[in-house]
Amino acid sequence: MNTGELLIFLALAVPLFAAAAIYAVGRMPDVRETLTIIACIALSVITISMFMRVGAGDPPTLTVARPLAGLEIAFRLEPLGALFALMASLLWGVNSLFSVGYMRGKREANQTRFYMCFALAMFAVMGIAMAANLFTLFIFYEVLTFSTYPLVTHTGDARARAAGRVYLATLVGASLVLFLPGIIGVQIVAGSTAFTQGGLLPGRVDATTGDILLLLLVFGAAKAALMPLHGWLPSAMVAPAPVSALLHAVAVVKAGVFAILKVSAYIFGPDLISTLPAATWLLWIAAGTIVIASVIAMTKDDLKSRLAWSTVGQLAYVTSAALLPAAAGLVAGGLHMLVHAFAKITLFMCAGAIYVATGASKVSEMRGLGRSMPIVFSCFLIGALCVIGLPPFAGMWSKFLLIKAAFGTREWFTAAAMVISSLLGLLYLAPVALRACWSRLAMDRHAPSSVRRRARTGCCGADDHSCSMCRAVPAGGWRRQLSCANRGEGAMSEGTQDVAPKEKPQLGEPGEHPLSVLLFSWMRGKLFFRLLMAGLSALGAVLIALEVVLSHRPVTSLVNMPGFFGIFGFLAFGIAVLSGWPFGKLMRRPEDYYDTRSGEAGRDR
Amino acid sequence: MTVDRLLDLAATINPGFYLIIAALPAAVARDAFTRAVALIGGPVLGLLAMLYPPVSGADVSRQLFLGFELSLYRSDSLSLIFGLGFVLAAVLGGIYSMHRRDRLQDAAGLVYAGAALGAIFAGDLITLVLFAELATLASALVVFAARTGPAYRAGLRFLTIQIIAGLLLTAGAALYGVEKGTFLIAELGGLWNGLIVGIIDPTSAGGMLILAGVGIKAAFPLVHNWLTDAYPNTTETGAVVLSPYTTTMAVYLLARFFAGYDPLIWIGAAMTIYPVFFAVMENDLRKVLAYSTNNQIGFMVCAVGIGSTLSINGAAAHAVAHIVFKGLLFMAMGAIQLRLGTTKASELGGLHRTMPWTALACLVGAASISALPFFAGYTSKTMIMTAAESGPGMFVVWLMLLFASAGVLEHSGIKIPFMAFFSHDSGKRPEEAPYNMLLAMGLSAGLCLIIGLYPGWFYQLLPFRDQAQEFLVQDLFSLSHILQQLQLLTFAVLAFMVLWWFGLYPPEKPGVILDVEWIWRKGAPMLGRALSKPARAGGRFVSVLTSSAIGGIQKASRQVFAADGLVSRKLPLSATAILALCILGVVMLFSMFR
Repeated sequence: MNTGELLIFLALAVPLFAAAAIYAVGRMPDVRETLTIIACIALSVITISMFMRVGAGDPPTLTVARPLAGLEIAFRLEPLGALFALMASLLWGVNSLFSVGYMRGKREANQTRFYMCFALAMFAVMGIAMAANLFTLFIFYEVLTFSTYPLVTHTGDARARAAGRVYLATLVGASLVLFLPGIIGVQIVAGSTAFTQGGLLPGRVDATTGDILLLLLVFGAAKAALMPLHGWLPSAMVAPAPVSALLHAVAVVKAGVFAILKVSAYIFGPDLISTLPAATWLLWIAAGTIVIASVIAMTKDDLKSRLAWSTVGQLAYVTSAALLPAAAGLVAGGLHMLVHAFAKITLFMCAGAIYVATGASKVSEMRGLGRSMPIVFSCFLIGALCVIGLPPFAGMWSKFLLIKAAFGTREWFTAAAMVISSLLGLLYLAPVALRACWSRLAMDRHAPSSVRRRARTGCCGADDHSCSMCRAVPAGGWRRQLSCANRGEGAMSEGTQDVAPKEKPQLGEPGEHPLSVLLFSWMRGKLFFRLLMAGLSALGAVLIALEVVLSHRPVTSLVNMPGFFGIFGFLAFGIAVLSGWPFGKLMRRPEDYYDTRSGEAGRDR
Repeated sequence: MTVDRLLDLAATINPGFYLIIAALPAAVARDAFTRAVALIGGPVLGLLAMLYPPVSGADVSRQLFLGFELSLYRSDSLSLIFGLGFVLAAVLGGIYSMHRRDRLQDAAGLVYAGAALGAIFAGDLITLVLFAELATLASALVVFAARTGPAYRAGLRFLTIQIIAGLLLTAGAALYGVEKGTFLIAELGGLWNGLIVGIIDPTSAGGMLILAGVGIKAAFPLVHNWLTDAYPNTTETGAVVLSPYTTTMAVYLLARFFAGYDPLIWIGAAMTIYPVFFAVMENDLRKVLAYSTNNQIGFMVCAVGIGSTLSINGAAAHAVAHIVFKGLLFMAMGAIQLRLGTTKASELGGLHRTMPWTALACLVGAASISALPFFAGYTSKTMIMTAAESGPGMFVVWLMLLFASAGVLEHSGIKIPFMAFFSHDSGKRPEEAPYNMLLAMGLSAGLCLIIGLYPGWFYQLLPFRDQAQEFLVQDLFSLSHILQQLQLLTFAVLAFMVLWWFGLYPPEKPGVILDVEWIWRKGAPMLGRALSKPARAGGRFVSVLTSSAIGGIQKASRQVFAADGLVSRKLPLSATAILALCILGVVMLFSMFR
């Protein structure tokens, strides 16, 4: 057994062994959690070294069993899988640290089962990442489904059980009804299910068979939550936050899109994909999923539910990438899978942290919480911007590559959906953090009073005071400042300037600035106005006269006529000003026009 | 030796980065000195970096990233003049906001200036998009920094529209780059009179998307609303920080990519006209200035569309001059906002008694924007007007610009200073603005005068230097130009006095003026309410349908798999045999297809 094979073996053995060990020491929480963390570190080291080795020399292969001829359980390291394994193991570590705090903070029951299932799920993920053929991938895919079922139903109440039923029914149902027949089809058609560089099927299928197989395999990977098989993901939101993070970032949905990427890259190959009409239909469905999921996410007030719908949309990005008829799409898809994982785990951890600390799970309850949880909401904002794809965050690159690939292959619908969904992402993700940090005044007016009270008394007691202070400034307005200024106490509270005691001026009005006395005081009164008018008329006349005298051009048109500019200026100015009367009548509305219940403010959640 | 090498290295860094880096100390500084050093030092460093290597027109810093060839820093005379304007704006804005100890706004303002500067000096489309997006984010933070309910909502609207523009720009850049096979500006198009301008084909799909994105950022008609919505809702210093960058950057991009594209002439001319009418009605003086910005950008867009060396010189010069004098006007209004908490004309008047320095600075700004000879606006706008006059078939456009010039005098030249500082005495006696504000206003006013009186050095910096010099010597201070402009202004002021005398000047009334924003602030909610009921009914129908379908499947499967169900029933041997045959048939079918 050489080093590569050893690494494959270890990557599978470490989480499996960790699961057993966690069960064994289940009565000692501290030891149990320590074991989890150690396993995470060990697995991370293994996957990192795998990632360093990949691409150099022959890919290491490990065949475990061969139950039937042409059908074997085998593992092989290739770049995409190594990336997936690396991502999952690193995030497992992060998530485990978070879980310790979350599970203890919430005093959850059955924590041993939780950690054990988590380790088992990681075992399955490693198997999926390193699978050398579809058959192996399928086995571990199912292991992942069943090992995460207890996690989804962790709380054990009716809602959790219902969600678990949907979870199991959708995932197992789709994989048995669609995925397995697809695999069998591939086996029959190609005589093998091994992942092959450049694709296994090219040259062995006609278009119809290829279409059917592609539809079976892509929809069969229901973990990728392509509509209409997306329902399990939002309903699984009843699970605790670390589980959501596992579902959305680390393992489950990523296993789905990873399977699709593998199928696209190594079973069909970009060349075959580009000839299949089914790929185009699937691209449309994915584009529809992207937009519809984003729109639904906008309507959700529950933060985790909003994030779940966002995941549905983002997964469809990767699915689209896998189906784009270009190899560039695969790179973009892999990158987006990675970037989305890191961003989404950030968002879910923030949601969990907010829930543990304040009990708030709805976006509308989070107004002003940014004051008391600045770090959490800053992280949320970073995660959100990354998902949206704004620089300087990583999401920018994957989205740029995706859009570029979509344009490059002339898939306009996909490109448009991606662009639109980025914008919608901005609308449903960014306000969560922004509102928490900046929306103190809006909170006063629109939020239901119970929420307001809880938010204030519960977690930001200082808010009340600062709110009333903020309100006082525009309302009390200039009068207070004026009286302050008159008493010589300094104007606003800014306080950078000190007020020198002023001398009483001799000229002008009492309290007038000496410069004003010098420059402007003599301008008041009707006499000056009349004199100025007369003076300007005279000046105008002189200017026209000068033009007549100096101009040597013949008068060929209206524009050349002396005094044209003067007359034009007079008329244009008059028209501009007089238009203010009718237009003002027509278009002026009361100042609170947009603030009423029927306006946008009333809609403001 | 080492110092030289360090300097050379520093000179290959895009000047925008210096401002962005300076945002870090500005964000954490607690004492006034560090803030001052960061706010002034960052832009000054950027300026030095900008000037240190002689302008070459070559890509200074090429990088290979993710398989794209990027050029982070590329400088030519077109970038340089805009860059100078941005650095000036950053320094003046920094001084102006010194009294306000707001670390968020300071840092956001620096990042915003730096990103805009970076975009100006970007040598390829990707770098450009990155900097433009960063500028968008930072500018939204500047709006949010007011920390009031209206500012928050206006900021979200601002951010949304800006992100739409950014996405269009991104998509367009990707599409165009893919089509042309390169993202480098230097490789997209050739030299025209020694400069790379007008390099993108606006009729291609990618070019159209880029034009749309840049158009939103330049506040083209019907997409101008972000400007007039966000600026008046900022803090007293926020509008000063916001006003120079986004629109000016858009003008730069238009000049770089679409110079000489004819529709821009008409778009620009329309942009100069309609804000005039809105500004007459508008009560909030900072919003009047926002409309005025829109109008001035129109002059530049029109000039870019004309696309002669003279008009592009004019657009660049006007952009920089506009940064200075519009900044000055926003500063004066900001001082009033600080002292009185409002800039509504209906609540102001007679403020010159206690704020004479501010009033004086405001008057200088007003004279400049009205293009009074020997003030900054005159030196730049004359070029645009001359370019418009000389073009064939441009008579209508020229008349439109001339009308807009009279309109500028109305809303920015007279209404702003007159309604705020003179007019009827409101009885308010605010204190004079803080010293840092006065200093910034004084410097800006000085710049307006220096550019107006000694335009020589300013003309040296314009993109097409030789043509600029020629214009300076022959045309700028020719008697006919000065006479015409003076006539226009004198008679327009006379018209104002007549109207005022007879009480025909529309009174300043509180209220909001309907604009395109009605569509999304009032129309969209109304539509949403109208649609929500049928949509909800439809959704309920679908969910009932799916749940009953699932229930049916469950029931059926229970019947099939139950203890006495279909599957558990005993079958005769013959049935089993037939089933096996069927399976065999399916397998055969599959194998036939291979």
